[in-house]
Amino acid sequence: MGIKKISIESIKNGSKSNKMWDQDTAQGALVPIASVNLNQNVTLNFGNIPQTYQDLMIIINGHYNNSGVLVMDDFNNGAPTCSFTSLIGTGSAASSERLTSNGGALPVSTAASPMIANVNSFIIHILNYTNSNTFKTVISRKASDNNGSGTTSLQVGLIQTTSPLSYFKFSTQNGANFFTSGVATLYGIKAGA
Amino acid sequence: MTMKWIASAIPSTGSTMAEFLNIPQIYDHLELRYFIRGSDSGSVSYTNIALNGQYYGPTNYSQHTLAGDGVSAFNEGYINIQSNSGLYSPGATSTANVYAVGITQILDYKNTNKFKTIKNMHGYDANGSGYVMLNSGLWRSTAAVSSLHMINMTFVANCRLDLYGIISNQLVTGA
Repeated sequence: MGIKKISIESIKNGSKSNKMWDQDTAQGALVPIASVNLNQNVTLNFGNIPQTYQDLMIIINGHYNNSGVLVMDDFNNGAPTCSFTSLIGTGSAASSERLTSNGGALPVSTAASPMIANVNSFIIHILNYTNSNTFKTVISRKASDNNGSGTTSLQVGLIQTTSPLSYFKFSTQNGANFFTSGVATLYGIKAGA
Repeated sequence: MTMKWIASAIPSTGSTMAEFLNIPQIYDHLELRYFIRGSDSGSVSYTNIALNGQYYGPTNYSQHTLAGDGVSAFNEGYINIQSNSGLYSPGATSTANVYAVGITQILDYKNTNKFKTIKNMHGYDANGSGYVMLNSGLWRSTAAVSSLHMINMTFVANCRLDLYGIISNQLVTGA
């Protein structure tokens, strides 16, 4: 990082060079809330989620030891009914998958689009997560590519709770399956000045 | 990269349009994040996105969609249409409390030397019905994007749209 000279006048009138690094340009509307460094993780938890953002975004880039699924569960330490509709590409065909009335867990990698024993990347968005009048809709993208195998998917999931989300976790639901390395980060996206 | 909030739109119940006007020309890209549901008859409401107030007029939009309905994947394409269409959301008879979400990006929105591409990631699940879709739209205009409209759907309560600008920060090397 380089340090640029800033004048008294520019501080007073608020102007600055577009090459100037500062707290304002560094943070913006996308704010990291918490990170989990993955090391033999079967689960990873995000709790005490601030209720001050408009949306949440979770990015997971993890090396997995096996082929399997990953679910979001324990929403607010409860088990609301979940479901999803997904679009999957295998490299040779496109397909769609659906799960209905699943008790307490929302898969974000699925039987038709599982994680692979290699690097798996997820970007998961939960919009309007503090709204107390609506169910929660989750839209996510997953990439699991292993040079000749693997899948990519776009999925939309439903969590049937009207409670604002303050806690959830991710689980492999199988003690023999875990992330050997990588990182998972929860971001908040602010609306408003 | 820095993401900056520009404005929010909370359509009133029964309104048929959400709009962002006077979009600042100081960002590199735009991102719209929305949470919507319609009261149009049937289980699905269809909504469209239009730029610079050009809707129900010039037919200078086209689109491609790759989608899944839980049973099979399908695709759609339209040429010479009046807005970027094909975003399926819950309608009047869909499961209560279910909303569609979407993230729309318009890259290089203020460039006056090329047409604009509208990129959507969109969907909803209603526990047994719903759609998920990747959608791209072309707006055949070189004008800088200064307004954005979501049209053609009757909004219900609790809908909202948030518009962000994305800045590609220059890396300062200290030179």
